[in-house]
Amino acid sequence: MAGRLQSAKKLKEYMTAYYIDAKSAEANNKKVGWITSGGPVEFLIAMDIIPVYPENHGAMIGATHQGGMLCEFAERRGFSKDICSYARSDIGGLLSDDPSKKGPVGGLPRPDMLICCNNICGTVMKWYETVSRYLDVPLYIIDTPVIHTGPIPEDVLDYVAAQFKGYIKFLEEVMKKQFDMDRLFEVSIIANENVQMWNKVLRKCANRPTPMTAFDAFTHMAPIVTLRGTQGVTDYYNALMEELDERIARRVGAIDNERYRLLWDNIPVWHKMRDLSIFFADHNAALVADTYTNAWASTNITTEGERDISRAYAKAYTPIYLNIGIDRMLEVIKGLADIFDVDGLVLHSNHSCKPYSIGQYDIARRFYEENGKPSVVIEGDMTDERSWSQAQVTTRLEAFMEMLEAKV
Amino acid sequence: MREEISETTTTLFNRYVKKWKDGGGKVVGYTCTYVPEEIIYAAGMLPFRLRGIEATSTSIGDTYYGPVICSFPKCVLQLAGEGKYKFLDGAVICNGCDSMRRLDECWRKASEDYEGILPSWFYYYGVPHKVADYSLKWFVEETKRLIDSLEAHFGVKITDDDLKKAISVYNKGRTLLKRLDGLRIMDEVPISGADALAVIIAGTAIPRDEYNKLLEELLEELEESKERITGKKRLLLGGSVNDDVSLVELIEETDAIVVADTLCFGSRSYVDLIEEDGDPLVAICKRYLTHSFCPRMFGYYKERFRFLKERAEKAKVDGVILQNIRFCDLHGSENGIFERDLEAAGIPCMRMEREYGPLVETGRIKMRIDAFLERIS
Repeated sequence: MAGRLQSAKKLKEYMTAYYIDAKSAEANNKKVGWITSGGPVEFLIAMDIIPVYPENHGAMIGATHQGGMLCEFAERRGFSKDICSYARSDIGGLLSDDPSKKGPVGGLPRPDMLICCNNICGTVMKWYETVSRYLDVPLYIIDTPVIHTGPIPEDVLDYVAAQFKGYIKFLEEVMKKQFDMDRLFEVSIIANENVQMWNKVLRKCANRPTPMTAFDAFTHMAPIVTLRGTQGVTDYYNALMEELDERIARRVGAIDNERYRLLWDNIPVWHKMRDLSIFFADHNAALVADTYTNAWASTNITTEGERDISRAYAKAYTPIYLNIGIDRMLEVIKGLADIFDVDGLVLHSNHSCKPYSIGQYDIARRFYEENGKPSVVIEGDMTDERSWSQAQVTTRLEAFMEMLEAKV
Repeated sequence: MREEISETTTTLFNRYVKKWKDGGGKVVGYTCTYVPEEIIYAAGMLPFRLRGIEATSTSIGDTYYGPVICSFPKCVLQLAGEGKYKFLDGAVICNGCDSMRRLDECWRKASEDYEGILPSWFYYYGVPHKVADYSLKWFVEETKRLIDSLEAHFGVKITDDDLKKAISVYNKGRTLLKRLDGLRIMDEVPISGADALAVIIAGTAIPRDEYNKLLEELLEELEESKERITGKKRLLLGGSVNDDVSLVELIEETDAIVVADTLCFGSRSYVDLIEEDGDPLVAICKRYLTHSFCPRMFGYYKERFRFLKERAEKAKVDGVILQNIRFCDLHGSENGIFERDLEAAGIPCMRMEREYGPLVETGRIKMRIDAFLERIS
């Protein structure tokens, strides 16, 4: 087996530097903005605000097995156990009085502002409202209507674009300085380059054997999510790509004996990354693609032909993967399945994420009907390790692998 | 309670709907209080709020929705899949919440497997989540699109006068329901909470003109009635969608009466009226957009809490029960904060999670209610 990517070390250094920067923002007279994962971070970068992603924090909480403990803090204060565990663990960390129980980085730096875009779900709105009230911090919401099918209607574009204009005003008020539109154009170009680079990185997995798996992608996605719009992201992915190219040239696969190629759907089970990666590797299966990391590989801010940049952003941020219809989601999955030549789907029915989990059984069935390729649905939760039944998941996955063996 | 009203709470295809259909009338289903019934009424059709009350399983709902979703839309889909909504000529699905907005797709997908279950006019209607001038602008456009589609499909024309009449009729109904509220908060209550819920639900399943007449008669009867309920613990019921009269009956089987609510099958659907002056379409959109009683809307926590607290105080309740259906992110986020703030204001509060329809666990709920009553007695 190829072992761990060397870039993982660089990633750790890169993300540590980012978190140190964010945690020392106040001392360095910089402002911090918390933002949802589907939120338009480019505006923060353009205003020299340090973006912080509670969802990235949630992933770290899950990976370090602190999800259950932090979620319980929120549950004790009345938050339902069925609410998104990113939200519960983040709020739990805020509510915890014990400095040793605030999460893997000792809690996130206090925000000066909150930016929430509901293109990923409606829960983020309630989550950010709670944080806003609790910390008494201004919040800006960007409401993105669902685009089930077809192009975005003009009036929807106008509606979302008006909110991007409001976003600029909001930032100007919080920062007490004028927004630099030229800088936003520059950042937008860099963000597009970042996204293209991330897409190129992911496309490397189309090789046989794949030089990395979705488990690697789940880790290496951190820069594209958190630091999009900065040159460092492109540089980092260039280096990662070189390493992947080198593996490809040597025909070194991410796992030994790659026999099955699978596509993962939904947010990873952060607290089971290691166990699941071992399971699939032991069964000669490589997760070569996933819908989650690919969600950051296609956003493109195209100003061409638009009246103003706000409409370009409205176009880019409205029809994202979780804000489209099931038919379109299936099209995305089928497209990825073709590109990466997969033998089947592994769908994580995520207790926390309703918009991602709705319709998965239907998607699996239709995928089978159209491609003759099987799927398995495993139930779990991205961050809360209490919602995980190892025996049940193992049974399902083993049965799935047996089925694949008979088919491939 | 009058049989014709009780019937509407347990039977989707009730006698009024049957009569309406027999007379050649069209019925259009809608999902939540953010869909303007006035538009459907103005088109000469019967607006019928979608419910999941007759479901005895969620097998079809589970297939298209998956396991981690609120059981209310699953039950609606279950009934659709079983063909129980075949009496609908149309349906409007809106983004009340993430689960409800997906009813649009799940129903469409189910119709590929269950023939004839999709109404011939099936429309997705987007409602903004925030209140701003640009939200109103988009909402008006979206509502015009709804009207255009309705007109084109059914070959009808909705004029401003039609909309004005609809506003007036619905405002009248809402005003009558506020009169019912006035009776419920009296010291000696002439109607149980279960019956009051039945009356409110009936308004979503009976032609509005007939309903208004029925309601007027009923109010007069109640106002004159000597039968009064006294000596019970007075409760307010709030939280997730509830059209299940048996849940209120379960509460009232104990030593309690539900004298007020903040439910969407309840006061949230009628406390705010539509302005009768000016452009009727804009007036409708304004009312529905600023209808901030549901946590689906961004912000307005303080206003929602004030609404809840004022209703609890006016009704002189001994306690508040805030329930949410499992996987309801909106109420599941807010009920805990309401509970904290109500308790801080000296109003005892019980928060409980439950399932909807066939999944409901009456024994556990009863035990929780008994314990709560013991606490507040």
